[in-house]
Order: sequence, then C-alpha cells, then structure tokens
Amino acid sequence: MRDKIFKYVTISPLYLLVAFIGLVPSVYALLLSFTNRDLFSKAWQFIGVQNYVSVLGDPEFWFALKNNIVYGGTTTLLQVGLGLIISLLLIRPFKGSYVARGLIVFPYLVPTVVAVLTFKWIFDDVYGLANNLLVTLGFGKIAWLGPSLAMFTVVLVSVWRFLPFTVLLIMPGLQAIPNSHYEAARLDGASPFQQFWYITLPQLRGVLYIVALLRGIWMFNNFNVIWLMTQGGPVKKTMHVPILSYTKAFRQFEIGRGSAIAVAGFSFLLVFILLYFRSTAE
Amino acid sequence: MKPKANVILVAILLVCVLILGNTVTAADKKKVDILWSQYYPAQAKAIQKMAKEYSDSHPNVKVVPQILTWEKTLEKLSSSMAVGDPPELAALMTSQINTLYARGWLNPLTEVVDSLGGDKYFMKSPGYVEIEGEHWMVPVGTIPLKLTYRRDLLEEAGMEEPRTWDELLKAAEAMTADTNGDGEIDRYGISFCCNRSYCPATFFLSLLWSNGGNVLDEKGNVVFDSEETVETLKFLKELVQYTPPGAPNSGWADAVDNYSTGTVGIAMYSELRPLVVAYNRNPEIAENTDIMPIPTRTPKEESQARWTTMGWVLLKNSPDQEAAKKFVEWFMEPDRLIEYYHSITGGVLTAPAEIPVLESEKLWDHKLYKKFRPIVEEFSSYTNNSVIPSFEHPKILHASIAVFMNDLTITDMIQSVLFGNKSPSEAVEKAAKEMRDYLETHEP
Repeated sequence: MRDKIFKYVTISPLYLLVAFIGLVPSVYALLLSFTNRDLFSKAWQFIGVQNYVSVLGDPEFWFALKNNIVYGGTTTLLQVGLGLIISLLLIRPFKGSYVARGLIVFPYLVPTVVAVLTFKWIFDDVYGLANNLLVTLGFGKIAWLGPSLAMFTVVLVSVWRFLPFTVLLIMPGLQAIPNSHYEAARLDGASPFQQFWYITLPQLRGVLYIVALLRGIWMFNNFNVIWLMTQGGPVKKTMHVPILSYTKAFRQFEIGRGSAIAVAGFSFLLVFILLYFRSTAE
Repeated sequence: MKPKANVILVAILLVCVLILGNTVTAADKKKVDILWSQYYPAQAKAIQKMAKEYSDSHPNVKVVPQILTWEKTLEKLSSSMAVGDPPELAALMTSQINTLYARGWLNPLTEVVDSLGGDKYFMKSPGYVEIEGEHWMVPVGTIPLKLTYRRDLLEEAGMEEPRTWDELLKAAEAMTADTNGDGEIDRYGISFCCNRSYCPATFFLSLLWSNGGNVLDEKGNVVFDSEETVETLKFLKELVQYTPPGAPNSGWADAVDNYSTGTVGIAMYSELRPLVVAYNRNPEIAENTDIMPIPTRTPKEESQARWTTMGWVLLKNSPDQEAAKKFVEWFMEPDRLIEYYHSITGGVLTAPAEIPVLESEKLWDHKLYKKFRPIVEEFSSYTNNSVIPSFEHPKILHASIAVFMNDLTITDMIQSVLFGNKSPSEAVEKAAKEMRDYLETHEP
C-alpha cells in the first residue's frame, strides 16, 4: 500500500506539470471562446455559443479552412513522399553517405525566421535569386509570391524546412527491416520495385502512418512560415485558420472570437489527433 | 557578556540597519517603466542611453525602458493591461495611441504639454492632439506621408513636380523605362506598399482624403462607400502598373530598397529613409532627390496626408505617474530632442516639429541635417496638412479608422481590386459593409 502511495506521490508532479503546460492554456482558450473578452479590457461576459455561430456563418472562416486543408495536406504528402524517397537513397551505403545524412538535417537546424526570410529574398520578384536564375537561363520572371503562386511557394518553403524530420523518422524504420527479407526476395527473383512494394512499404506502414499524422497535425497548425512570408496575402490566398485566428485576437483584439476560430479549427484537427491516439494505442 | 557575543550582536544590528535602510530607500525610489516601440537599433540605443542618464541624475527615479518592435508593442501592452500591470509610459505610433485612447486606457499629459509651451512649442498647435481640452500624447517629431522622387528623371521627361493624380500617372509612366536596351523594363515609376499589412491603407487613405472622401462622417457614420473611394481605388489600380514586379508583397522596406537602388523614380514613404539610404548607397540619387506632398485628384482639392509619429502616452493605473510626467518633460527639452534626432541612424529620418528644435542652430549643425536642410524643413511643414486618422474628428473620438487600418479591412479591399478580380465598386461596398457591421457591435 505504502509503495502504491509513494508511486503516486512521486509521479504526481509530472502529471501536474503536463496538466499545467498542456491543459490549462487549452481549457482557458476554450473558455475564452464562449466570452466576448477583449484583449484590453478586464470586463467580459459569457455569451454562450454566439462566437461559434458567427464564426461558422462567416465565409471567411470556411475559406481559411479550405486554405488550411490545401496547405496542410500538400505539405504533409510532399514531406512524407519525399522523405521516403530521400531515406531510400540514403539508406544504401555510398561514399560520403554519412556526410549526406548529416547535411539532410541542416534545414531543420536553421531557425525558422532565418530560413523563411532567406527564402523571401530568394523568391523576391525584383532582386531574388530564383528570378535572376530564370532570366539567366533565358526564361521570364515569375511572381513567386503573387496571388497565383503564393500558396505554392509557401508549401515549397515549408516542405524544405520540415522534410528532415520525416527523413529522421523514416530512416530508423528502414534500418529496422531485416536484410534477410530482401535476400530471400532477391533469391526468388524479385525486382527492386517488387522488393519496395512487397517488403519495404508494408514494413514501414506503421512508421509512415505516424509520420503522416504528426506532420499533418503540425502543418495544420503551422503559423510562422506563412506569416513571415505573406501574412496571409496576397488577396488572402494564403490565409489559413491560424492566421485568421491571430488577426481576430491580436489585430482586432477580439480574443474571444479569435479563440472560437482556433477551437473551431482545432475540432477539425481533432479527427487526426484521435486517429493518432488510436494508432499509438494499437 | 563575552566579547565574542558582543561582536555578533553588533554585527546583527548592523545588518538590520542596512536592510532597513535599503528597504526605506527602495520604497522611496520611483520606477518609471517605458515600453518603447523601436524602428531602428539606433533608436533603442538612444532611449537606453537617455534612461540611464536620467536615472543617474535623478537618484530617486529609475527609468527602465523595454524595447520592442512596434508591431509587438500593442500586444504586449494589451497583455500588461489585462493583468493590471501596465507600464507608466509608452512611446507609440498615433494609430496605436488612438486604440488605447478609445478604450479609456490613457491619462492625459496636458500638464506636460502646457509646461513645454503648448502651441508655442509644437508646430501643429496645440500639441497635435487635443480632445475636450486635454492632451493625450506628447509627440516626438513628425512623420507625414509623402512621396520621395528623382528630380533628374522628371527633368529628363520635361515634367514639373506632379500635383494631381493625372500628373503623377504621367510621371510614373515616363519614368518606367528599359534603360539598358535589353528589351526588359528595368526602371519603374513608383513604389508603394501593397502587401497584406496596414501600410497600403496609409497611402490609400491619404489619397482618399486628398480626393475629399473619408471613412466616417462627423457623426461617426460610415461614408466609405462613396464615389470618391471608388475613384481612389481606380486611380491606385492604374498606378500599380508602374510599380516593380512583386507589388502584392511589397512593404515599406521595398519602397526604400527600390528607390535607393534606382529601381524606381518615386517612392511612397513616411520618413526620409529613402533619401538617407540613397545617400549611403547611391549618393547621386540622393543629390537628385526631392519630396512632394500627396497629390490630389484635381488641383481644387487640398493635399491631405496621413500623419503619424511616435508619441509619449501615460498609461492609466500605472503606479508612478508623476515621475513619468517629469521624465517626459526632461526628454522633450530641445537639446535632448536634438541629441535624439541626431542619434537615429545618422539623423534626418524623423522631421522635428518642435519649434524651438527647428529654430536651434544645434539641429542643423549635423552633416545630414545641414546637407538636406531644405528637404527637412519642407518635410516638417507637411505636418500642417496632415491628418491623424484616429483623431480627425476630435469630438467623435473614433478609433474605428485606425481599427480598419490595423485589422486589414482597407488593405484587403485594396488587394482584392489590385490583384484580385473584384471591381472597385464591389470591393468598396463590401468594405463599407464590414465597417458598419463592426461599428454596430463595437462601442466607439
């Protein structure tokens, strides 16, 4: 009995810490979403689901959510797909493979602000390296951050920035597949594609699933890349739910409404989070 | 009593006296917290130096500046107010000040303005902002919006300084050219910010006011959906064709870069930064630089620019208000202000609008101020034709115009016409509706 009590006593600080860090801000945000709280004022009232009615009835929210799905979906798919290809290339030993494995982590080590602002200059329409290169090669200049290509460019930068994370997770998964599987397949005359399709992919399924879920959740909530590059513009082409929520909370100071937008966005994300919990439980 | 015990007792007594002494001193000592929204590192250094100088010369007061980028200042202030611990002073931009004023978070600084001399001290009397007999800010300099342009390029085109929209369009068109003959345009007419920030709204509103239009009328009703607003948007749509590529994301910094590298002939900017940066990068551009007020649609209208500046405000519910007022008075003394102006990135960025400062030879005894004296004087004089968005109808005290700038209602409208497929009248109608919806649900 004493052992049991001791166990709970010693483990309770961890639970308290997790609750404080994770739950308190989330519950507070949830409570705020039912109020008309203004950032400048201490006076506020509970207004029930009024914020939610107004948010869900606002076409701007649905537009932002659509952008969110496009941004989160494409960045996740590209990260997982490219991460898998790069991991398959790096898993084979070759001269300098250790250096290559080290270099692949580089984008993840650069602070986001530095990386994004550097890309902003690279894609600058007038002075940017990308356009200068295109002109040197005899092509015309491209409006990388114009209304038509802004989403493409922020997706490109986000994939570059977060790709190493997927490589770091997929590589150990690949290393864990016993070599004997491949040897047996080769003896049976399996082609490299058949080895990939019938051995690598099924063995990696669990890892890829977790990587895709985690990246999906993070990319859905990613704020800084888009904010630093376009602030949600031009013509709101890159405005997604986190930016809409930030604008309401910190530009219009309507923290209650901003929280409601964030919570509404979170409820869509909840599906992914539940899937993640189910898969880790399995 | 043993001698050893005596020594210990004396030592304890000594420690108690020291602790008590320090406690009393700490209780008497005033602390003035400052939230300073900086533009440039040199500004931060200047305010830190002055805070130290004041604290050293006033042993009972400690001035503690906290430096933030100006975008973050309002967030920080709102958080400090929400928890009931605001700083005594903040140096903010006019639109931010207006937001605080409208929410009742300021105490007046009338005493300070009066002690400085009111309309005898400030160029735009009385002290820029007076509402119901009280002054709510003590401005530091003036930053009216204006256009910086290349005199030589205008002369080449045989044109005078543009005063109307048509003249500006013609000048921008004339300056847009392929200067090296490779078939690609490499110099453009004008650079003004069009990105998704409050910046495009500053230019737009200045043009709107210079066209006789407005956002609100004197009763606080939305009058934005007017012919004047539609005309202004149409003009901007025409003007944007003479801007360099990348307009949808161009901000304040792009205007400076484009001007100082010779990529454009005209730049829209608040400060004299395009001139100063050109002076450092391409002195011949600086030699040929001049400034002009915001053009009007027809010669009949009067040029009205959005006026902005840094200003001191006193926050309600902060503990050491009197000490804070004394610090502002000290900071605003002409010689100290001159030192501040000279310190900002080598000088000549913010134009002084304090009469004793402008009249002081000490101000002009500086390399850049001396060199560009006519431009600085002209720049300062624009103050008299400038409009403070938030305080333009002092009896109504609408924060809303600044709100519509900050929450991007106006910018999103501009972008939807310039880079989207909305017609000017559709876009104006939508923005006006959003403004009315906002005003219906928010008390001014």
